[in-house]
Amino acid sequence: MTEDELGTFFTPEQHATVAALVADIIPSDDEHPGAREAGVVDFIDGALAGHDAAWQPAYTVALTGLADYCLAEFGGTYETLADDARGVVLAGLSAGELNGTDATWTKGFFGVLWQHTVQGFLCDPVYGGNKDMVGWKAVGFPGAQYGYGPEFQYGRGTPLPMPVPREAMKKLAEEHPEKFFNAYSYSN
Amino acid sequence: MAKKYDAIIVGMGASGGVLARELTRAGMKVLGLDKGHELEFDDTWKKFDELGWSSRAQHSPRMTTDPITWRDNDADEAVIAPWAVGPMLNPFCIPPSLGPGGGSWHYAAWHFRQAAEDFTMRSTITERFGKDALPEGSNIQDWPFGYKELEPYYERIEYEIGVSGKAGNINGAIDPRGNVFETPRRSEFAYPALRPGALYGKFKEGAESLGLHAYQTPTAIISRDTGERKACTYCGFCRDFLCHVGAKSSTHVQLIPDALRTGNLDMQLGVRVQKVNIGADGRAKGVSWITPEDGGEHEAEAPLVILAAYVLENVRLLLASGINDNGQTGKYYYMHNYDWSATLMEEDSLLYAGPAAAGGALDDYNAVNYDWSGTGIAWGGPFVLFNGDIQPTEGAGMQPGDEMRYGPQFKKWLTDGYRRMVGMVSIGVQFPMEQNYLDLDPTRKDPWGEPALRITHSWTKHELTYSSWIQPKLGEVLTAMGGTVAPWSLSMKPLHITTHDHGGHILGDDPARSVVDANLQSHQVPGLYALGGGSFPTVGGYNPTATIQALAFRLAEHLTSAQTGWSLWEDSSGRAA
Repeated sequence: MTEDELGTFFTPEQHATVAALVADIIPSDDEHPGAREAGVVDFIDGALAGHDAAWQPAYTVALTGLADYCLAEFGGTYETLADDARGVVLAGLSAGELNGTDATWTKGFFGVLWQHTVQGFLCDPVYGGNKDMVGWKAVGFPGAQYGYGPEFQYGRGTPLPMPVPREAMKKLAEEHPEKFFNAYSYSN
Repeated sequence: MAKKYDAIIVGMGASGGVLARELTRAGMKVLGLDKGHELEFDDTWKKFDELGWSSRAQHSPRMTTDPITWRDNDADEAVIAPWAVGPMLNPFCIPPSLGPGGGSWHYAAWHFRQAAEDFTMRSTITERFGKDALPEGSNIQDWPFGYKELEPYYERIEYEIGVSGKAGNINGAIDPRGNVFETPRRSEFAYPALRPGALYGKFKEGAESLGLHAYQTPTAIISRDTGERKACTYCGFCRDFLCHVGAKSSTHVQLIPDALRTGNLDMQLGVRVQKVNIGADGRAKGVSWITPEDGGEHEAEAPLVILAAYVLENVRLLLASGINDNGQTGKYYYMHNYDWSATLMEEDSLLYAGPAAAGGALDDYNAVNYDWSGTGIAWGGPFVLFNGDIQPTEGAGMQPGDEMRYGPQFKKWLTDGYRRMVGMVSIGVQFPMEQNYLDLDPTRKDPWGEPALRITHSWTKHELTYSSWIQPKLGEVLTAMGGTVAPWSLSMKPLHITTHDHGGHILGDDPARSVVDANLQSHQVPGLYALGGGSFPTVGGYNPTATIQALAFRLAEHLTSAQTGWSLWEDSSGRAA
């Protein structure tokens, strides 16, 4: 599977829960879109179906445990809870323990979810996250630039170029191969 | 019937590439083996991808194929090592990258010579502070040769591959534009220093206000076009990434092509070497390897076998081949002791633009440049500014450790913190200690049945003392350069694999206390050589690649000289020179 052919792993219920979790890790606000607009849950879904398939059992166990916990404590699934209840759950998750559960999955799950959330917010859009490069715009990263000149570096980055995806470099390499080093392959 | 060569090189990376070029040019038929594969033209645009190349480190070995275990001490059971060149838990991989060029195409490309004192650590510490300053349980040995011996080879690698920088001391003439603490050099760098990051000016001013001496770092990235290679474009996809214009001076770009052009290099990629074979006469006879794609088993013979893989694989191969008669193989595993500190500037720091290694450093706390009396510290290291080459996913993980990692506060870090952050690393030394070593894991094996390497490593009193002492000093510089918040640190102590691992096949004159001799030849098996960070008896605070490559040039000269290598080669191969 290449990054261009993203698969899926989550059930619809899991998808809804993870979408809510990541939106609470990187929330949207008036200034910048967050994980929801960046499509972070779709990035994680694709990663778990492909490159990060080794993490599938961790997600399955954790999401089952989380659903049980949320139902027992608050009477619903995570995504249906009120903000204050979600706050309690996230605080517990990030601390590696949820009150009333001693499940070992709580120890490491937040770290994995957090890592995936950040990756999905800031990766190249080809991986299914960072849709419309909203993550890069939010953090002020110009993406795949061929290079930067002294005017940019010493002029404090103004004007900041609009971010471009890796695809722009593919196009440049096809149109202007002389701008790239052409001897990495010895067999050609 | 095994195919015969004059020399076999295991690992075609930073040092293997040097050897391949030198030996083939001298007329030797060389077999070069590497686990990795070639990169292609398309990789020059594909590399603009932090997730694939850095976070997932797609060109590095994986724990699934190259398992390594770690434990803190003898009493613990070792677990699969969960560290990575990428941030945090994922991916399960180990440094450096595989394939031709090895670490030299993915590294940040700082290219420091060691200081003269770094070769005489034992006698220097003893002279300055007395024998008691040598930490208990340490085995600090002077190198059997010094800076002067290695200088011509440092010069060669700098000119052969292209290293940029500004000398601070040419034959005793100090130039404050360079490192005023530099051990005297015979010559200027091959290329002018790269354009430093946006905040270099503030770094220099801040350092000067504290009486410290900032300088632009030596970097194995070219600053002007040469041949097919173009000057650095300052794209910032550098550390962990292939260079799209060939500016990074990897052996992949500059030396291995020369070796291939001689027609004397048979380079086989995607292969896994499993054993060094030893003849009935006790001499190196060749190596055995497998090709995972077709399950094929292969061997080749040569009177010279050179292990030039990363330290961890070099040691694993030595142990798996039973080369440990004196019990020294794997002993004294040590690494650099990093401390990180960061602050936020008023303005955008442009953290992503330009190579990290096109930046600044200061040596006021390095080696013997500071009087450590009364501190409990015996040796220091440099500060290296990180003002470039930090992509946003990595940057996101560098927030102050006590801040919330979710919600509006985390969002503020992402949208405001990352763009104003500047950081600095202190590269402290770890001494070779009895308690830290490498051996074969008693139970875990790779998918082909070969034993995994086991690391027993913990941080000891000297490093912990140094870290506590140096953290505030990092902070002073960051504040002096205009930091707007109290500098914060991130602990690097959970790391027990870095890209600066050392020891395990230490070189030395005493066959009872080292694994290879001063020419890097195994004390036990004549004709077998082991080269890399693993052969360092001690390491100073600088990044080790320049010294590893200088050792490679020195070894190549030894192997191709009439007095040593050639006669050995003629005797053993039965071939006329």
